Amino acid sequence: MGREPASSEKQGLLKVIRLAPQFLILLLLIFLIPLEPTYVQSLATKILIFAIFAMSLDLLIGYAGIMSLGHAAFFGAAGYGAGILAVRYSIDNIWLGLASGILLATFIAAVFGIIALQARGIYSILITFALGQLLYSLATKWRSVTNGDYGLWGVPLPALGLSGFEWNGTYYYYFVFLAFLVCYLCLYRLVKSPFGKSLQGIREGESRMRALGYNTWLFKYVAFIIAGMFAGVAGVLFAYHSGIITPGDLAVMNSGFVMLMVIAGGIGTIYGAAIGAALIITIQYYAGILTADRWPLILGGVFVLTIMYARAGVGVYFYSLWKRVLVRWKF
Amino acid sequence: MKQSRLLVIVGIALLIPFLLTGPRLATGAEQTQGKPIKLGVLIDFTGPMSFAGQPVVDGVKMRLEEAGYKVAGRTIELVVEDSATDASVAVEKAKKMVEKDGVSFIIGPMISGMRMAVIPYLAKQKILTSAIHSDPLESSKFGNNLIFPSTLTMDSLPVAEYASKVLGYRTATCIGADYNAGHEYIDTLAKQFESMGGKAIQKQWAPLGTMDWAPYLTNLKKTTADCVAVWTIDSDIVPFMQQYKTFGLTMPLIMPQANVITSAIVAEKGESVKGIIGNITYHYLLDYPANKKFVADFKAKYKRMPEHHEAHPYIITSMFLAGLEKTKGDTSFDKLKKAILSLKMDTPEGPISIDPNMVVRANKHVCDIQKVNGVWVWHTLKTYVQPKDPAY
Amino acid sequence: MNIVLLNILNAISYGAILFLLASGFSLIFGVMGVLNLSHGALYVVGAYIGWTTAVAHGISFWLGALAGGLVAGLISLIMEAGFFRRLYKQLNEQMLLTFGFVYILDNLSRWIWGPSYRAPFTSPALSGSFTILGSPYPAVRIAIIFIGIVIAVGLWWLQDKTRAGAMIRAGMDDKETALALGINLPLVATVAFFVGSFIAGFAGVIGAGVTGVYPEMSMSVMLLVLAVIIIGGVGSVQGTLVGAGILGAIDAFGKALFPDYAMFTVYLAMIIVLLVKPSGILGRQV
Repeated sequence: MGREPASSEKQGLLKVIRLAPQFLILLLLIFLIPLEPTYVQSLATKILIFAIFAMSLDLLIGYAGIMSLGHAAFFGAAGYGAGILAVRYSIDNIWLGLASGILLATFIAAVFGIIALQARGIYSILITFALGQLLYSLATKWRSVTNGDYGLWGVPLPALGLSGFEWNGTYYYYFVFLAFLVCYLCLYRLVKSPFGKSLQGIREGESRMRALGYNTWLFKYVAFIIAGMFAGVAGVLFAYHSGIITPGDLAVMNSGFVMLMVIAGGIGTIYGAAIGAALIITIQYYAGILTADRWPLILGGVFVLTIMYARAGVGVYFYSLWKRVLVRWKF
Repeated sequence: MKQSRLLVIVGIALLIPFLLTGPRLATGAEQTQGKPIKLGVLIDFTGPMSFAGQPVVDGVKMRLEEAGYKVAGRTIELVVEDSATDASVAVEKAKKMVEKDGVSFIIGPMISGMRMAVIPYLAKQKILTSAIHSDPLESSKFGNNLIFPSTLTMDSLPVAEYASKVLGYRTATCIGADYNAGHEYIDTLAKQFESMGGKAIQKQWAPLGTMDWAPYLTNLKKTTADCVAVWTIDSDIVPFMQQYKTFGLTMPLIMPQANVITSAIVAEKGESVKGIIGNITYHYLLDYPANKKFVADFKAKYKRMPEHHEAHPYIITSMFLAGLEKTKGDTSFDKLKKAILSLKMDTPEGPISIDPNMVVRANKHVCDIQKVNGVWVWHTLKTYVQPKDPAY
Repeated sequence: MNIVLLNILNAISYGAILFLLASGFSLIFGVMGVLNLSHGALYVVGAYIGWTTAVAHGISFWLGALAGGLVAGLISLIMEAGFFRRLYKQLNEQMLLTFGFVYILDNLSRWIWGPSYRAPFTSPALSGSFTILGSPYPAVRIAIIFIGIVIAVGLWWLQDKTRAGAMIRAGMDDKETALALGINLPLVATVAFFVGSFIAGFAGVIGAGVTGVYPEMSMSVMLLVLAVIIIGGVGSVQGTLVGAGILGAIDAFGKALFPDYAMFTVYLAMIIVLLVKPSGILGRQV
């Protein structure tokens, strides 16, 4: 029983329907959020920032196959780079701030990558943890530059460079949203590219890839640096968002926190990490309002349940649900 | 493909007006007569400083209950949030409390670093806030920060003076927790000590979470000084004191901000911690009429003795209520601030008044640890009446 | 007493505490391959149980230590049976699970015992000082050294001289062959997990004589455990001893000689070892 070939209009409509969830989310982010009170916009901004952070970690864990408990080091370092530029040197330019933060994160990733890639498998967790904590203790000790454990407070939102432009919460939300889109598209293209495919090949069987003549170390190293770079983007945006960057933002708890997001959302999908970020931050926020002191139980419980019953990740789970709906309704 | 392209164009077209109009519903909740007044408490229930969370809330609640959750004819609602020992979370929750809940006053966060993240935002929103255990003087520049019970300087100056003038110590060796607060307390104490003719001959810094003080105590054994100036947090100071004794060290100890050694710890470990002379803002045996009543009521209600963690928020809430009485329930920033600045009250910590920069002038007590009626307690040696920070 | 000797005693006693902390973790990691990030939390729970027994109810301290170990072991059984078993062979997921358990165990401890700091407590017999070469030295530290030695010897004997130990080592080296030989590896894993966690809980009560106990301690303990493992290597008692010893020495002498950089010396040592021999000084090549 054949179907007549769909007209191009029908094909266009089909494509829109298949992409409905993405469209809905985009509509929500573009139109609905700015209508909410500013503290909701602020939360949405934080979610988008951590989405970038989580996606960068997914590149590392889900594609390069490198487990890292020190990813927050790049996030925090970039935050400090931008923060120090603004607070200690009074440089009032957001693009310079972004550049300095991202450059710092990339440099540190380049250095850490050499050390981290010495180890295999679960040992990379230990190394990345040690490196992250080293940076954490540096941030805590070097009080003259970083203001120690109080954190570098008073980080302003530097000028965009447009005359007469004044920042507010909503404008910054849009700025972060655009950054998120750019990062998502970049990472998406990256993992679909031959480079990304090679990474996956390495993750699934490194010795096989080496036998095929690939310089697996170089691939992993480049991935490590790129992941650090994108984590740096998130770090700078975070420093401007909170107005403060603290040593805790570099520490293992933050690294673990973002790993939670990647796992909860779905490893190896890029979009999963973003969904995981939204999920974890929202749960943490509302659990905190529900119970000021017992919310970690809720968060820990959700996490345990996710690992046990939705191992592929909540984001992946919903996406496959949607796929099944499409198939069922012959879209 | 026409439809999707159309959609994209429509989407972008709709986007532009939003970008042009900027934020829509950004104003805070209204504060008109008849509506409840919201008091916010932003404190750590999770994270390394979480020991403060519940006690602070207890102190606030006790005062609100005494007032029947009413002031000047309006009801008071309490909004409590967890700042999670994380500055960015504190800022986030502060935003929620101001924009969603419409609080007129926020007590906390506790840690000075977190306060410096939150105070500027609150100042921009014209919301008053109060420190719980002192703030650096520079935080007064924002104009909305009630610095209670004093500036950080006053947490060490009285004991520095006592050590120097009363006990006649000339040299001190110092040990502090190696983080901002530790440096602030010890460096300040050392400077004050030296300004009075003494000399700080050595400074050691121990990371937070130092359980094993052996290396530092070994260094102390090599030193002879008239006293040891020490400051670290409660979980570190008690091992320090116990190990100090068991290492056989005998130099007397002085401590700024000695309230970290709570009355509960003193009662349990008195034998180990006696020998410290500390700067105390509050202990339950303070000899003020307001304190006798406060302690009796607190003990009846909570079945334990109050610490500074509860006493301070209690007093701050009293100030908040007294200010509102004066403004007849008007929570607007300028009126409430002016009313609070004009307060003179008798509190469990003694008489207080407030200087124009919103720094509170409260009594400070230099105390040692003694056994009174079979219980180890802080015992006041000398009271410094409403001392003033010389920096302003 | 000679200052150097004092520092040496400090190094040994601190090393002993670290060994107690890390030996259980190493056993679990070696046998099951699981990085139990909640090991620190088990140490803290054990300490709290010991506190409840010895301080709150005034029962014997040593019974409290036993109770602490048993409760920690019990929790590990629940984790194993309820969760790890269902994630058979998925090491990454198991590790992440333990991360979730940290949140839960931490908050539960806080809920049950409150967030306040509990001052150090120990057996009344150990609360004073012994005089060594003319100087007082804390008795509880001497006790910790002895207990550390006893446990180290016990574990080494188990590892090298018993059939159970042989089975464990076989499982670590070659799972397939071990299974083919009829060794009940799942049972071995469960027992190892229990024993490792028991040691953690027991160590918590003993170590509390020096540190006291508070909820946040689980994180600082975990970091120390990881440091010992990184330096010494996993899977063998000797490795843990080496790691603990080196860390103890670095801590004692580092703080004595370069007090300002104490924190760094530990991390630096970790990184140097990781660069030279990533699996740790005496670690099995993975």
